[in-house]
Amino acid sequence: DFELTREPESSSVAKATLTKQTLQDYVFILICPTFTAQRIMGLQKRLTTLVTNIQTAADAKEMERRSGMEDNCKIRYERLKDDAKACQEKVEEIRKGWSIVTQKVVYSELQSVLDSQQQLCAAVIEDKKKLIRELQRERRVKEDQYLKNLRRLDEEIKLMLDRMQQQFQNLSKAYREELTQLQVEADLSHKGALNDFYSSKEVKNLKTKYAKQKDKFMKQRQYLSEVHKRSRQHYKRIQKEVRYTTAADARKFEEMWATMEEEVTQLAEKALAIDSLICKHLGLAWERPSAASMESPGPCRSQEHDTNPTSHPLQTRHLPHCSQRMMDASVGPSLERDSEHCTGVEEGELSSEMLMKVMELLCDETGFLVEDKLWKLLAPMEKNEQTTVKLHSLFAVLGLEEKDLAKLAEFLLMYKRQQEEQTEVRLHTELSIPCLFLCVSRSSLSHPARDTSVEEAYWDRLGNIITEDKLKLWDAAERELKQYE
Amino acid sequence: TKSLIIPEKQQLFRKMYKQISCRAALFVRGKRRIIAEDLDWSLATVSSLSNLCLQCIVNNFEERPIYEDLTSSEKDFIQNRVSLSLPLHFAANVFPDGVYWKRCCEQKWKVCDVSNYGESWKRMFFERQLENIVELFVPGITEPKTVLDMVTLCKDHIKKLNIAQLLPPVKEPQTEDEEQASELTLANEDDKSGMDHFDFRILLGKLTNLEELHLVYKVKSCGMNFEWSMFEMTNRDCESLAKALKSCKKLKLFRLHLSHLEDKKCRLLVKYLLDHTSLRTLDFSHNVIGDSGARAIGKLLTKSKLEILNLYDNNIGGPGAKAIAQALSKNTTLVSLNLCLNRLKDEGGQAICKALLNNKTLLHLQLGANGVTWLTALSLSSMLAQNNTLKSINLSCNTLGEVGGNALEEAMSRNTSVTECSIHLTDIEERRVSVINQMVWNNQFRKQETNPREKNTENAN
Repeated sequence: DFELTREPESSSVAKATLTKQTLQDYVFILICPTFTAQRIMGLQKRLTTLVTNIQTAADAKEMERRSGMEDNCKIRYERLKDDAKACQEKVEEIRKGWSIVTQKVVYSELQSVLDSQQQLCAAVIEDKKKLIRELQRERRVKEDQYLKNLRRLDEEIKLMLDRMQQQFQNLSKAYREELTQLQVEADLSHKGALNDFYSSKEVKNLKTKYAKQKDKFMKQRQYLSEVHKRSRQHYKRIQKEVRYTTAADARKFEEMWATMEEEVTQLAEKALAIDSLICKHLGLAWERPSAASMESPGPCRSQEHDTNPTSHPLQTRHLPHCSQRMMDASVGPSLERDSEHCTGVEEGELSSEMLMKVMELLCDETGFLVEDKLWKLLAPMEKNEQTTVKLHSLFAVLGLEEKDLAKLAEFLLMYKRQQEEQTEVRLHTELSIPCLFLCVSRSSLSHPARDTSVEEAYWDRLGNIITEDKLKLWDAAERELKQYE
Repeated sequence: TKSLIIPEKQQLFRKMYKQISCRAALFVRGKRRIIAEDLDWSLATVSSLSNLCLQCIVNNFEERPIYEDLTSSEKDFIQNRVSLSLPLHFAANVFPDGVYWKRCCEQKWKVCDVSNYGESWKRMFFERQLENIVELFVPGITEPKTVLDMVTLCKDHIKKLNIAQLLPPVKEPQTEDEEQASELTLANEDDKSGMDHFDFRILLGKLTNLEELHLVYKVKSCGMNFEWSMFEMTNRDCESLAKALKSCKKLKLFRLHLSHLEDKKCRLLVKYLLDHTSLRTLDFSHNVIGDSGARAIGKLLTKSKLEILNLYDNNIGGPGAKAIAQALSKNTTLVSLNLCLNRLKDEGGQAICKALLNNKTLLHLQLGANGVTWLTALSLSSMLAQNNTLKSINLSCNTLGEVGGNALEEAMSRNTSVTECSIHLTDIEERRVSVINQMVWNNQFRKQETNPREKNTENAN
């Protein structure tokens, strides 16, 4: 009955092809993890087409249905037309028959004519009924088709929903994967950056720190030893200079003394000569002063204490220098402590205890000068023994002798007293050492100031070679002489 | 031996003690541990004074609506607790968009997706409420007052109406004689005046913010009471609707589908829409518009600023398509044209393709299931050689054949703007289809590389 156009893919075939595509999609998803953007786009496109394909399939079916319907309509129309024509013909016949019926009078003829009319009418009715039945049948078929169509549409809608659900799931999975991948990448890059940043700060950091500090200390040590060497050299030079200058001074002193003495003796002789003349004129007895009064002590005596005063002024000169570089707090308070302990100590007097303390102090402060090996050797020994050994070695290095130690202690005490009078800032141990070193390197320490009384007496005597009485006499004589002029 | 026994005994004693103490605890717990004479005593702490006040406000909200003077957290408290049975006119004035409306929506409807309503619960509530009222409006029985009352409450909040059914007036049950009589006589067209649906003139003019209107003249669950008149408009319906549309000044989208809209009614509607300034989307899908209706729509295309035109599943033939094509060649606003499932045939298809030679704005063209053949494919490919604005093409369910496939392949190899091309079920060899798809894919990928990732737009069907 129905002329069907070429049937597009039946639903089962359509489903088969479409499932194949979904399988391909899954394979694609599994195999290609790279190019996420492209992949997601492809996925989107693929999944969307899956859903819209259902719609296009439905469109195709609809088109088919429409064309089928058109054809059916045409066919039905034609058929109805034919039927109507045929019916019309029959009805015409019947009408003609009625006219014949009215003509007939004979019963049998009438009967036969009526019968034939009835037959014709029955035929018409039969035709119509047949038509009705066919149309009804068509309607029923159409209804069934409609139901089938509805069911198919329902299935397709379900399929579409399924596809959409799948699309949603797949896409969200893909998006999630992409997101995690991006996150991982971001993490990695971040971590990489952090690693570079932190690797410098690991336990490696400590090593470098340690190495740096070690370097620093080595350098410092080197520097300090250099400084020490240079200062020592400097000191030697200065010492040499000092000796030279003192020698020069001494010579100069001698020469000056000699010239002075000569001048003074000349003048004294002159004065004595004049005096003798005046006495002669006045008729007084004149006696030369004793030769003893003109005795000069000589320049040599001063030279005995030459070395001493030089050291002393230097020391005293250094003391104000060191006033800003005073001894370490450890030395100061230790001295204080010591002084506290030894209250009976007077100036210049030192007890052995004090001495011991000073030695220990020295030991501690100059401990750094002692080599490591020595330390190791000293370690098993007792403390006292240690100190003695250390000090011995120290003094050997520093060129100190035992007698100097006493002087040193004395000096320290003095120093300390000076310290009390002044207010200074305590300094680092390291700086006290050079100071100590300077002090100690003097072979001999402070000596009493030299005695210059003898020379003074000499000059006085020479200055007073002409006594006051004599002067008065000279004045009177001058006045008398002036009277005469 | 003594030392052995004692630890055992100790253990035993310990066990016993544990059991006893557990039982005792249970026993003790059963009893009231707190000795208080207050029978209302409970462990719950007394709430703060402000909370008590707010609760009092909630309980007496109708008599004394204290709302404006409160802080925002207090307002939230009230919205969360106030009774949902407050009279609407009252609540509409007091509460702005917020939790109260959310509660109302969730109480009334099972599925509430607020993103469809611009993230506004108040809008959702009123729009759905109004839709409900219109859908259940029985002309002749329901008082128009119900609609009007609702409109006065909410006219500022309605932006979109999606009315899914329109009831015809109730038919008086005919006597048997009348039934038989009506069966035999042919229904007269003019007799349908008694079947006028809801008159939109009372509604649309008052909705000053309405931007989208979706209508369908159908009855949702008519069951065995099916009648064709339930699924179509009357002429008077059409006229009143057209006049109502004219008064709706801000309307941007009008959709009238599945309503058996034929040429005459289509022309009538278009006549009233010709001067509508704000209309941008027109959707007459799933109707029975023919060529003369299409001619009217062509005229509408030239006069208005339509951007989207959807005539999916209608009866438009070659002449109608020619009218639309003529409008298209001069049009500069239309972006998407959907003519799927019509009767365009090659005559119409070729006309449209020729028109697009001059058109520089159309982006989406749907010509699926129109009975076009390779002739249209040829004219399309020659058009694509010149046109580089068209982005998506749908030619599915047309028998293009090998010649058509060849033409398309050639066109795609030269064209760079088409990013979507649907040639499903077009009788083209599969290998060629995949080649064409690949070229289109390349276009799309190239475009997405230059632009930041855009959403892939489906063929809007």
